[in-house]
Amino acid sequence: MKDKEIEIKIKIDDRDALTKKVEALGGIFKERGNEMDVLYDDGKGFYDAHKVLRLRKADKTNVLTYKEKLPKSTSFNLLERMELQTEVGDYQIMDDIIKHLGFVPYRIKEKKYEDYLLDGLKVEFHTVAFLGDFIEIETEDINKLKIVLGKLGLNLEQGINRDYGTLFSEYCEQHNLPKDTPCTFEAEQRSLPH
Amino acid sequence: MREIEAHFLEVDPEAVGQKLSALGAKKVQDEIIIDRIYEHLSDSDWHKHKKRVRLRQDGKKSQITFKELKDFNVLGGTEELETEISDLKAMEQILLYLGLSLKRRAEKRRVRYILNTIKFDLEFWPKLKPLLEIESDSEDKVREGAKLLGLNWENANFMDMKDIYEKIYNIPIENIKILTFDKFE
Repeated sequence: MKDKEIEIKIKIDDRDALTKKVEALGGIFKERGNEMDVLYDDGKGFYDAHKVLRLRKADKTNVLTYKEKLPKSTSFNLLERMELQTEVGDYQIMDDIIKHLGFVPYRIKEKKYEDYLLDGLKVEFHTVAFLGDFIEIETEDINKLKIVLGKLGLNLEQGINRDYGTLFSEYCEQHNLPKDTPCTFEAEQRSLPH
Repeated sequence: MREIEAHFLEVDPEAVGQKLSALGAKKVQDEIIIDRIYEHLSDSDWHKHKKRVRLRQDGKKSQITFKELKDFNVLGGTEELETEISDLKAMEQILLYLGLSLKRRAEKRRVRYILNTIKFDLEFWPKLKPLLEIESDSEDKVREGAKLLGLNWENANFMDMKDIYEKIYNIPIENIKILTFDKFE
């Protein structure tokens, strides 16, 4: 159980170049994979209050996560949240339990990830359907974060303090996509002009 | 998934254990099980259908179970959804953040025997006499389990534990928060 999460998320244009930079700086490749998330809402303002109930199907595990913004979260560049999570044995059964608790699937979100360890920090490259490539670094040591960002040619000011669910909602609004569009690579493919 | 099980109250655990061993049943567990029961206290539908979420520490395993009593007069009257979880404390916190409340913390001792696909659980609950729970994947098998032990099917009980406490033993537990071997409050 981890109860506090501080992370920076930065949109990147040239993922390959940045990956090479991480490797050149001694970053150790840890793993890559795909994750399919379902986000739930109770229809009573849960999701709008920036609370997240997420059931994740990854390559090897299923994880249930609850997140909410910390009351003292003031940063415009960092995502500071309280986070609770547990691995779950049976994905389908947990989905059914969540529905019995009064929640319904609100958003499906797909992501490809590649994780590195650099200077003791977990550096993640994400490719999110519709949204593109991001680098995400999780830490509680802001000074260390600044140093690593500097080495990568990035800075704190580039950080986006919104989660992918919120970013995708904004994307749907900007591109006139229905609110319930799945944030999946298949849906992205379908939405491309033929 | 429906839970197919029957209770036989006030059994002699030693005699049942000996009989099961003689039948070739394998004793697979003898442990104290700790349960935490969560409910939506203000939701009348939860009360009416006896919906509850149970977090269970069973030896090294942790589980979450959602239960809903559909009909307490028949076998398979309870719908049960159950899966393992890795972090009981995190799950507990998540349930509270989702608006559920801790209704009760309870413990029991369970001695489990397995014969083919039939589970025989000798259960020891605070303030109650030992009972036997027979569980399998069909009513026929549960009946077969009872027959093997020479138990009269007429005596089978299909209530949940709350009703057993309250309706059979006249021990109200609705407002009991801690139901353990050393505390009842």
